[in-house]
Amino acid sequence: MVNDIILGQYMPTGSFIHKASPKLKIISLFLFTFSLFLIKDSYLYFYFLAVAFIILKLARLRASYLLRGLKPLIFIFVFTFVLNIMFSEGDKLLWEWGIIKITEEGLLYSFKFFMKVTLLVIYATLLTLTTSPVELSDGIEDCLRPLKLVKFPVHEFSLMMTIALRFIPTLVMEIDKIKRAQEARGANFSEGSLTERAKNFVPILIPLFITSFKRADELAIAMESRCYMGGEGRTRFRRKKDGAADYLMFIAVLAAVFPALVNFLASL
Amino acid sequence: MSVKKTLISLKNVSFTYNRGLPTECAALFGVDLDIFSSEIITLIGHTGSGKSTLVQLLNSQQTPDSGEIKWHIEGVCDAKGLPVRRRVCSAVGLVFQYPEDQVFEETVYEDIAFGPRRLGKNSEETEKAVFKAAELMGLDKQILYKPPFELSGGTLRKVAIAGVLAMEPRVLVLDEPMAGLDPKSCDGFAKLLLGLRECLDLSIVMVSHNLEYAAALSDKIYCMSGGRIVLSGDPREVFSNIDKLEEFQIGFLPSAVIARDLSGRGIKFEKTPLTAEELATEILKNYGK
Amino acid sequence: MIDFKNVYFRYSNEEGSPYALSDINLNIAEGQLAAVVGANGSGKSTLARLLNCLLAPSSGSVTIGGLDTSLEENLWKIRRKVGFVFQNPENQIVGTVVENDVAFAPENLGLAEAEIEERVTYALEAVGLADRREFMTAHLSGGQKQRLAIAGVLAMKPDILVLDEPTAMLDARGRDSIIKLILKIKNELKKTVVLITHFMENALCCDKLVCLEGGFARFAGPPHEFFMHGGEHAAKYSLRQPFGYELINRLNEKGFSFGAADFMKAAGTSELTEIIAKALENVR
Repeated sequence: MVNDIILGQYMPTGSFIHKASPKLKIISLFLFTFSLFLIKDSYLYFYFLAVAFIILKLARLRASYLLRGLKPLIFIFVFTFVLNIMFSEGDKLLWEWGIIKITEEGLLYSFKFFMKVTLLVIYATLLTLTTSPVELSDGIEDCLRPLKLVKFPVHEFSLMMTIALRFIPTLVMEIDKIKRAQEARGANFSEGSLTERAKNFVPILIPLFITSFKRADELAIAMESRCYMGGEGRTRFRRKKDGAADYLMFIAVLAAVFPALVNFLASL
Repeated sequence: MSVKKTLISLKNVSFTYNRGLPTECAALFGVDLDIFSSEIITLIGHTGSGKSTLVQLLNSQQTPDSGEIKWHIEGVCDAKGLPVRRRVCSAVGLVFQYPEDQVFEETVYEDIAFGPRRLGKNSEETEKAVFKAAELMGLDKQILYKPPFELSGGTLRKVAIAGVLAMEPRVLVLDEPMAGLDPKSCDGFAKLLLGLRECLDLSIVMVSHNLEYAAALSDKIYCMSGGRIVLSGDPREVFSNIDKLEEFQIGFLPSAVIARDLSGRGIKFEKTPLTAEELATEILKNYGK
Repeated sequence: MIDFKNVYFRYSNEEGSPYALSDINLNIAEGQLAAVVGANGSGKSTLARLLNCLLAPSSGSVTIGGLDTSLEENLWKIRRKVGFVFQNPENQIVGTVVENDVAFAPENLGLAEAEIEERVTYALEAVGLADRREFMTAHLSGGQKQRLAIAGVLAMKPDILVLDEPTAMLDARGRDSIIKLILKIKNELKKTVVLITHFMENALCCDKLVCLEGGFARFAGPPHEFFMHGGEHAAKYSLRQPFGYELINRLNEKGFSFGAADFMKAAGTSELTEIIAKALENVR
C-alpha cells in the first residue's frame, strides 16, 4: 500500500542507533549538514560518504534501502548537475556551444554541489530509516523546546506534526477513493496538456479540502471531549531520557565532523 | 416479460494487488459471474472478501490477471471487438461508498453535468441528461441551482448518484449505498432502486452487508469470502442455507433461522420466510387461523 | 447521575428560530444503560452533546453527577466524568500508534507518567486491544478503531460513557463487537452508558429507552413497553421494530396473545423459537 512507502521509510532493526535519542540524532543531522557546507577540499566529500556508510552498517541496514530513498531524487540530481555544468561561470573554458559554456571551474562546482545534495539526502534518509515518525516528532519537539523562551508555540507545533503524520495514510486513501470515483465519471488524470492536467485535479482537490475541513472540525471536538486544554499542564507518555550511550554517540558524531571544521579553518 | 440478456460475464477471473511487489495481495480467485439485464444482484461478504475488487473489475478500473471479462453492451467495444475503457466506464456506472464526498462543483447542476460533458455531450444533450437524472432521483428542479454544500447528506448522496445516472449506464454498481442512512431513508432508497430498474431497464449490482435489504431487493445474491463466491442463488435459496452462511460467517436472517428450528419441531414451511411478516404468515398456515 | 430539568435548546438565539429540543425532563440513574432513539433530526445528537458541555441548554438545567453543565467552572470536571465517543472512528484518533493515542487524554489531564502507563494498559485491556498496543492506528479495521476510540475515553476513568451512533459506519461484524463491548463496560466496569442509535436491536438491551420526536421526549421507559403495542409507537416515530418484537406483534395481530413476559424474553432466535413453539403447543 502507498502509506507504507511514505511512513515506512522507518526500518527497525533494533540497533543501538535506532534506540538512540531522537533529539541527539536530529542535532547530529544538523551538524553533518553544516559540515558539508564548511568543507573546502573535495576529498572530504568521500570521507563523509564513508562515514555515512559506517553509520549504515552500525544501524544494521542494507545499502539498498538507502538507494531506494535516493531513487525518486535521481532526476533532480542529474538536472541540477547538468544545469550547473552548462551555465556556471569560470575561466578555463573546455567546450562551448552557443550560450552553453563548460568550464573547469564549472565542472568542479557542479561536482561539489552534486555531492553536497546527495550526502544531505543520504544523512536525512539515515535519520528517517533509524527513527520512527513518533520518535521524530518527539525529537523535534525536544529540539524546539528552548524556543519556548521566545514564546514559540512548541507544543502546538509538535501536536500539529503528530496529527499530520497520523492522517497521512488516511488522506492517501481518501485521494485514491476520490480519484477512482471521479474516474468512474469520466475524469482523466493521465492525458492532456500540462494545464489540462492541472485543471483535472480540481475534482480531487475540492472534495479533499471539504472532507479535510470536516475532519479537522470533528477531530477538534473529539480532542476537547478528551479534555484537551492546550499545552499548559500536559505531561508526556514514555518520555525517554537521554542516557550515557546517547551522549557517547553524540561525542562520536562531534569527532566525525571535526575534520570538516579543521579543513574550513585551514583554508582561511 | 423481456428476454434476459447477458450484459457482463466473468469467467474464472482472478486478481492480485501489487503483483510482483513485496506487498502483493491476492484478492480474487476464479470468480464466475453473469450479470443479466434488468436484474438486481447483491454481493455480500466481509471487508476483505473481494467484493470491492470485483466491483472495480466490473467497470474496468482494474483488469484481471487471469480469466476474462466480457461486456456485451452496445457501443462498448471498438471495431476489433475489444472493450474501450472509457466506454466501459460510462456503460457501467460505479457509485462508491459515501458518494456525497465526491461532489465538487459550484452548483448541483454543474456537478451532475460533469459526467455527460466528459462523454462529449453538447449543452443541449447535457441539459436533457441532467434533468432526467435529477428527476429519476427525485430531486426538485430548484435544487439544481443550489450550491451542493447547502444540502443535507441524504440529498447530496442523491446528487452524486444522479451524476452517475446522467451518463446513462446500462449497469449501475453501488458500493454500500445505504451506509450511514437511517431506516426511513433506507426504505426510501430501496424504493428508488426498484423504480430505477423499472424506468430504465437498468441492471443493478449492489455491494451490501445489509441482509434484510439484500433479501427484499435482489433477484440474485452472491456471497463472497476469501476472494471466492461461496454461495449464490435467489434470496430464499441463499438464506435457507444457514450452515454455509455460518461457515463463512456471513450472517443470517432471523426469520430463516427460526423457520429452520420450528420445522425441526414439526411445523411446516412452504418457503423460507425472509421477513417477520412472512414468518408469521407461514406459521399460521399450519393452523388455518 | 444524569438529570434534565425542563431543558430547551436551540442553536440560534434569534427570535422565532426553532428549538432542537423542547421540554426535556429526563433522569438516568447510575449504572443504567439508556438508549436514545428517534428519526433523523429528532434531536438525539443534540441531547448527547448537552451531556459533556459541548452544548449548554438555552433554558432549564442539565446536571451530571450533581454538577450543572451551564457553569463555566464545571466544564472540565464534567468532561473528565463523561467520555464521549463519536460516529466516525477515523476522526477521533490523534496518535499514530495505538498506545500513544490512548495516552492522549491522561496526558491532557497532566497525570504522572506511571499513572498514564497504568491507565493505558487498563483501557486497552478493557476494550480487547492490549495485544495491539504497538500497532499503527492506520492499520486497524473500522471496528478496532472504534474500540480504540472507546479506550481513549476510558483512559479518563469517566463515570459516564456517551456513544453517538458508534456503529453507524461499521459493518455487521464491527457492530456486534462494539455492542458486546458496551454491555461489558456497563456490566463489568459499572459505568452509566447513554447510547444514541438507530439500530433497534441495540436498543433492546437497554434499561431505559428514550424516544425523541421533533425535539420532544415522547417516551422514557423499559424498551419492551415501547415496542409492545402492535408496534404503533415505532411506526408513529418512524422507527423500525426489532425483529423479535415485530414477529410477536404480527402473531398477536393474527390471533395469538403474547404478553409482556414474552416480549421481555424476545431476544435472540432461539428464545423466539421457544416462545413460539410453546404457544403453538398450547393451540394444539
